[in-house]
Amino acid sequence: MNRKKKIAAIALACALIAAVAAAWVTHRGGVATPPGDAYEWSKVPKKLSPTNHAALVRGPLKSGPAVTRECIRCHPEEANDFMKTAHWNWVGDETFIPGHDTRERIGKKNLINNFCISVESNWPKCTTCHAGYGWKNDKFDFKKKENIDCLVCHDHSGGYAKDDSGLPAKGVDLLAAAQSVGRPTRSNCGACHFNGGGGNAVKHGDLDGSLNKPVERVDVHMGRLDLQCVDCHKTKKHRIPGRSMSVSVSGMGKMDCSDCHTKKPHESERLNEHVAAVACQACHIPFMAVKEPTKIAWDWSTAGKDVPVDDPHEYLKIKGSFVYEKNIAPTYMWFNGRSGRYLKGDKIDPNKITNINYPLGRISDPGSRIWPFKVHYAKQPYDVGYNYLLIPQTVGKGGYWTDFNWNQAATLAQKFTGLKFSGKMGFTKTGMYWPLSHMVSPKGKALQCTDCHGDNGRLAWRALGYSGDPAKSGGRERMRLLISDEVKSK
Amino acid sequence: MKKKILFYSVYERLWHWLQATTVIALIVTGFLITYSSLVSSSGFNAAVLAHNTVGIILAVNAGLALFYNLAGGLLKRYIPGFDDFTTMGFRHARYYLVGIFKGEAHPFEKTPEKRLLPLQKITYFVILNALLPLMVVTGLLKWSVAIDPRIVDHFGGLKMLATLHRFGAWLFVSFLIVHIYMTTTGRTPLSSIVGMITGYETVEEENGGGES
Amino acid sequence: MKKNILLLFVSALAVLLMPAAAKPEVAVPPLTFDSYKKAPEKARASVHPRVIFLDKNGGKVTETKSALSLMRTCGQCHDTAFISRKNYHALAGFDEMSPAGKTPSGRPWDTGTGLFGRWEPLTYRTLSTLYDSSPDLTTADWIRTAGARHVGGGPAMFSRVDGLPLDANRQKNVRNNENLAHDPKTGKLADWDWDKSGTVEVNCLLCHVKSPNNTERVRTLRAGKFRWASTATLAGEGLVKKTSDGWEWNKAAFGADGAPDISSFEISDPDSSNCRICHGRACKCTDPVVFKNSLDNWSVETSGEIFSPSRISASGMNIENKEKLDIPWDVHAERLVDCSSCHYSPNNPAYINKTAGGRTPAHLQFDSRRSSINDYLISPDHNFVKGHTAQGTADRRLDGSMRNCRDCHDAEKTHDFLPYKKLHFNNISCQTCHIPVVRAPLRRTTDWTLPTFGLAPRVQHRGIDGPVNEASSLIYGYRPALLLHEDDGRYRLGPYNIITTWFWTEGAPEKPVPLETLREALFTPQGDFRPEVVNALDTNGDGKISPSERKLDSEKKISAVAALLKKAGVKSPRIRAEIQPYTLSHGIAPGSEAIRDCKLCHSGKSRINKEIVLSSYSIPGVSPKLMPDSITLIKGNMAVTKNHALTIVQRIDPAVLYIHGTDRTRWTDIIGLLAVAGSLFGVAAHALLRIISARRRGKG
Repeated sequence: MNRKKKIAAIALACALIAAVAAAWVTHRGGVATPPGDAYEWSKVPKKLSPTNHAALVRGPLKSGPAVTRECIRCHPEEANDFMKTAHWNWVGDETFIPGHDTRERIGKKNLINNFCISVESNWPKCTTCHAGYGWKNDKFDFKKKENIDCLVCHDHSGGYAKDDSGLPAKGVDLLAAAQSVGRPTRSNCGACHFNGGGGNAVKHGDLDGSLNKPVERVDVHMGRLDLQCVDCHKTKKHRIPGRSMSVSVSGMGKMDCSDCHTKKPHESERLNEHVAAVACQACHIPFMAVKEPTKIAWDWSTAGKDVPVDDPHEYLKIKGSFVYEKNIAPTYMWFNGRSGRYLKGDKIDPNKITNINYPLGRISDPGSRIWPFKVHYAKQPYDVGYNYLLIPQTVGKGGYWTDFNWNQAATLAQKFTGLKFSGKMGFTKTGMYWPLSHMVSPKGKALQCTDCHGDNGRLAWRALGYSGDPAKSGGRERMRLLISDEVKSK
Repeated sequence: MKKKILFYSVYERLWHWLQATTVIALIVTGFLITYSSLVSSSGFNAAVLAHNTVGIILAVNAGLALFYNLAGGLLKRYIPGFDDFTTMGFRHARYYLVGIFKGEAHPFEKTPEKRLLPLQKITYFVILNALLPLMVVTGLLKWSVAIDPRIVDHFGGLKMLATLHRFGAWLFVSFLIVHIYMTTTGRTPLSSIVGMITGYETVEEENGGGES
Repeated sequence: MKKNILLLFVSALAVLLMPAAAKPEVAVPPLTFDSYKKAPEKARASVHPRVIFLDKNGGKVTETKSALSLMRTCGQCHDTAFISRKNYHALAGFDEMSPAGKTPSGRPWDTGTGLFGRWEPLTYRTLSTLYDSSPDLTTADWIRTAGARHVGGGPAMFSRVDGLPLDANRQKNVRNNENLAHDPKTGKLADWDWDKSGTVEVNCLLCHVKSPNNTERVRTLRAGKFRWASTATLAGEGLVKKTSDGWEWNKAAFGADGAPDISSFEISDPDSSNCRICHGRACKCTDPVVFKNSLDNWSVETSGEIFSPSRISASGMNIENKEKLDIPWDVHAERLVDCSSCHYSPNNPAYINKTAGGRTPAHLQFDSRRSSINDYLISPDHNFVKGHTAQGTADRRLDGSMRNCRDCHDAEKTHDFLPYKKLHFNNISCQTCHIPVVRAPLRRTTDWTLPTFGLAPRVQHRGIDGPVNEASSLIYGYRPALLLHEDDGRYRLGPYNIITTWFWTEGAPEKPVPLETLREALFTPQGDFRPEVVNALDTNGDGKISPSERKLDSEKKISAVAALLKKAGVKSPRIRAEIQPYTLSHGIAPGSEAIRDCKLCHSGKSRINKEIVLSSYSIPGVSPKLMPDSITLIKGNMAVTKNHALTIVQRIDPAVLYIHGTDRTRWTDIIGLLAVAGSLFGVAAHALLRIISARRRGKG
């Protein structure tokens, strides 16, 4: 009987194993399952309910610094943290600038762009968007905590606004604003970032006032899911990740779609293969400036003429001629996250377009992907004698916007910028690049194969380094175009 | 004097209940596959998966039982003898038709060696030699199209196999009804079922008998 | 004070200048650079060399001023004789002609298998036999009507009698239907002078230039100026100008050698837009799809297939739930698969797969020996590989020559959800699940028995709520009928459209009653139905026949019309009805849209044996017959439903295709149920008796 029992037990065990194995072999994945959820919702932050500050903040609050002192009373560390950030200093950490020998701290404070050209010598207007109070000349004290503007980011009353030198606009109820504070909303960030370049939608091409109350068609994240900027730009110690290529050259602190989405987000394997060479943004931001027109060209050389009606979308006497467009296809280029930068004093070839900033990357670099860019071209002043881009003083007494005298404006700016003016000024063409990451369309509106491939595709394949359309000739991997990191280092 | 005797070994009981579970599961899932309008689409898929899986478990279980009985030399107790069809069978049938209503004693005494009654022997002989193999073979053949669709062409095609499989399923349901009912005709209505669970049945004391 | 004067002066000046300044174009200085404007990357130019344009006799067209001959012009480098001879697009069944009634179609009046000789129920007109004394279409008539969908060559160039060129100094006294044609003005038969008209050569340009002018080509064919058809295809390219009586070459566009600037019309390999000219897959590649249902849009009308990469949601059509359909009309088109990617030339060295088909040594997986590009370009085989369709009856020996789905796709790897993969792949075509819904209206019925005065049949469409080509009609789509078709000796289930046609035939040997005869018989010269027709058909008694009354759905109506036909000289008029299946194989949905619901087929309500509506009304006494030359099976019962629709309920023989959950043999269930019921009753009765007897004994 014992032997029989043993036989029986072994037989039974074998039977069950065999049966389960057989069942598994014959029916792997037997039941149809819906395609995997491509989102990792766990990575989307859960919003904490804000602390009501109404009872905590004591008045009366007569000035901006008074508000800040009231904030620091409970949040002293936050002030210290904030004073280390680029939002306060308008320069980043010391970094290597491609094409230059030195390591430097660069930022809005000391760079040239091809919009209003430079902050230097023009502080009171530019610093309207500084998260601080009173930066009106080169003497601003960056060590003074009470000069921090907490409200511009944290006001929830909706009644807060800034004026010249970043001071609170007249008539703002500072106590109400201070009592309303909370987590920054799109409108807080947008107060400056939607108005870059001096007005709504002017600078970025993917950030404008339509994102205050966005619809899904314009931005699926903000429109469908009501995400706030800081939901993705996850902030620690007041350092906000994400870099604007116009003022930063390193790839550090970058954010990525894969912070929330999986690396293989498509059902189609073919589409997932694109991820290695194409940034998500390239297909999912099919058009930039979806609703509001953005500036794509600026000609300073025509400024100064009297016209009966100034139209900020066509011509302003103080600024010159513009071209604005909306709902347009971006420009596509290889980009590895780092960028090159024109620094004050760099020599130029006035007969060529000078790229003030430009994406780094190329087809042979495995870290490069094809990104969509907004490109802004301009014709702006340069010094004919020294062959570098000039910084004119536009704002204030004697500035170009007051007297419309370029030579005077360039001369006045010398003492602040350190750029000597030879006395002869001309205009040269420049370009600037902004990678696009906002205004992501719903997936049904993303680009399709034929938008890039085939006869009438958007991409200039040969300019990108391909022999032809990679759908037919093979991608950079199949063409053995990639140079691995080891080879590069040799 | 009454005595509890071990009738069914652990394996036999496990075998029986596994077989019972799988047969019922197969009947239910088979029914859902056939009358698919009763279930949702995912339910249909699940039923197909379950039916195939359980079917293979049943087939393996049946095969192992055959091995167990062959190896243990226990097969003969399932083979009806001549008198099972004649005198003993008649007596057994008469009990169900007449005696049971008169409260007569059961004409046969169950012992672990002679645990099957004449009619049971005949029924099980048919079930185990005809119906079960029919179901297993037609089922496996129908399933074989997953490996190579041409196999069934040598066995009359899917239509033939499906018809037989389905016919067998109806017979299995009928058998199940009678089988379950017959368990109530033991010493007490539940004694047979309890016996199949615990392995022990209560019998009148006799000399000898019982596996030790 | 001085300041004030200055201010005054400036204001005065401003006032004076105001009217001038109001003009904005003066006021706003434009940009002084344009580097912001994006210039798209230029496509690479065609490498095709310059080619001297020659006429039929080899003279330069610029000198002889005669029609362009492509056989000569292209023949300077390519083997045009080979290309046009081995080419089913040109032959159109010309090489498979047989005596009337002996074709696979079984129609007594058919003489061929293709466009030339096989009667087309959608267009009706009949190619008449050589000696039919009252022909419907003679050879020249055929070119003028069917030539719009024929590339030229074959029957448009050669005689059916002896295979010699039609315009080769032939015996003109033979009066057969090759030397006669109807005068379009009078409708009377007259001699046709082939020397004057010329013949229609295979038109290379139609497929090999970027934007051929098909409108002018068709116009030239209709005018009977066959020789000039190729020339007309170049209209609008600046090479040739239409004059009052023909075409004039623009000498300035040609070099001294007689070759035009090739870049002006770009010779290339055909892309899908060339195929669309005749096959009509609705749209240009990237446009939002807007289409019309008509025979100019052939494949849309017959099968609803739309080969376009654009998204359905972007279409301009009124399609149900359109906004949710973020899917392309055809996933292959979306992924840049062109027509010629699958329907390639069989000797194209890039596509040829010499090891497929098992005629090579077993140890070889790939045979790398190829014919050179040079050899291929000289004599490219224009018998393009094709699949199996019910409607493509010409050149059946090429059926299945193309790569099928599974030659490119490894289905085993992508169907993990599917039980019994091999069985499914074996028994049903990929299209069955991958064309889940056709989202275009397609033809259901053509009824020629009572045409309008303009000779339009009464037509019905599937998949649309309301009349076609009207914005207010909602296109809800068509779930294709699933029929068995023969494929490599096996029957497989695939998606179909079925078009039923009713029409009058006459005489012996039987042939369709010409439309002109029908018009004369049924209408007054003013274009109204004759009173006999109105009396029989006017059911609401308003003295008119409304569109919905225009049908012969009773014996009485049929006999009234038949009497009129007899009066008009039609011998023994009778109605025939045909069912022509159309295989669907384009318009493939993305994998995510494919059918995964097993119950659509595996259930008592399986779509496989769901009733298929053939027509919203039926004509009594005539049962539509499946065309025997389609490789398709429809077996089942035809029935007229309560609302008078004619339907067929398919019964697939379970021995051919057994469908689990759908097919069941009734007797099994009856016997089985009886056995179960018997067992239940038996045990119940037994139990009852036991209880009763036990009680009785208990009392006793």
